[in-house]
Amino acid sequence: MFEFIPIEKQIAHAVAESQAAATMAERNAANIDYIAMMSDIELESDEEVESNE
Amino acid sequence: MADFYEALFVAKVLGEGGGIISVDSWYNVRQIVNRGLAKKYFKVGDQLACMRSGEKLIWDIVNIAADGTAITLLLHETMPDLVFSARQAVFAFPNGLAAGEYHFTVSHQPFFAGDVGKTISFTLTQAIPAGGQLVLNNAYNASMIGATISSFASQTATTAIETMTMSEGSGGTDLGSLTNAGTPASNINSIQRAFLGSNNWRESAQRQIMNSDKPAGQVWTPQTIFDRPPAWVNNTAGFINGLDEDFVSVVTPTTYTTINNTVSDGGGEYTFTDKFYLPSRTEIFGTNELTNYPEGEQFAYYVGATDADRIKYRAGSARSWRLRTPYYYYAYYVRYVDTTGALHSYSATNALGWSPACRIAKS
Repeated sequence: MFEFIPIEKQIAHAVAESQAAATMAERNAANIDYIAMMSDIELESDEEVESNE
Repeated sequence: MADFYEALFVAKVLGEGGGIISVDSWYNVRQIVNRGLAKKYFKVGDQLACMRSGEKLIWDIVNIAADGTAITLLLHETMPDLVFSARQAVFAFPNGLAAGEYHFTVSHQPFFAGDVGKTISFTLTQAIPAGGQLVLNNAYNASMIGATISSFASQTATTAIETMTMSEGSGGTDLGSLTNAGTPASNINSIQRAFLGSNNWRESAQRQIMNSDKPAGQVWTPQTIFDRPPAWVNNTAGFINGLDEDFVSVVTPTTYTTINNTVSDGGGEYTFTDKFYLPSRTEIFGTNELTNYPEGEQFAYYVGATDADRIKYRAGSARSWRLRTPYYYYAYYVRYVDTTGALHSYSATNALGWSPACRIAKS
């Protein structure tokens, strides 16, 4: 088996990985915001249930 | 993405008038260096990969000869940890030793001052045959008094003939004095090596395994009368075993320089020729272990490098990696690059990662 990996390709790969990691971090952050938002909604919903009782 | 880089590469080579040799085989890498074109085709930092027993090995190009006729490769990651040398015998008996009472004097003991100046005795109930050895069993930093010493029939024997308790005393026949340098001519080893192994690269188990194509159990053979089997002797194949044959066939035997320690090996330097070798302190750090004794030249890949640039990994974890350079002032310490990329030294008997270097040169 033989493979040639020029340094430019390594750098491009590292940049792509870094960008993918950044995108993932952004998605995770967005998910956290979403979960937090949903949690707020649930809390409000609980309060509503309590108030209805 | 691969097509883009291939096109870029072809354009570059065409632009420099180098002609085209497709970089798609180890054979063609050899053709490139044979024509002195390595600088046109490769840059320091480019990588080449091969397989070894199902594992992909990536090699960094760490140096390119000025005339384009050779490239030096260094394994990008580290291989699994191995000892550089086993704990060695303290006495060797090329002509054997009769049963009876014996003693020796501890003139030096750098790890346990309490034994210095003491005379230690023990009694052999069974003769040691020609080629046999005596091996100390106590920890390097503990007293020999009350500890044990074992006799072995040969350098390769792993089952002791017998194990005897040592005590303070001068009864029986004098075997001589233990010193840091040892007295090899009298078959007495360096006391440092009798506890923590040898930092002599040429004689090391590490050098043997890197240049062996044998299966586990057939790699190591003793290199000195004091040598003992390393911990990996029966469970680790030689590095060349399972390595792609087309890669091995283009690796050029390289003559390289290594220093001797000044304690037991007399200082200075020697040259040795191997296909695979550990890099030296000079080649990685650009500094010499012994003044006026460079061990090669610093690899271009590491010129101006920071500690972080020297960190090597295996399976995502930073690993220490051994150099071939002995710590000049000791008989057992071997230099290595630690997990922060800094220069350190560790006993030859400690297992560390290692990254082989090799060259593909004009032939």
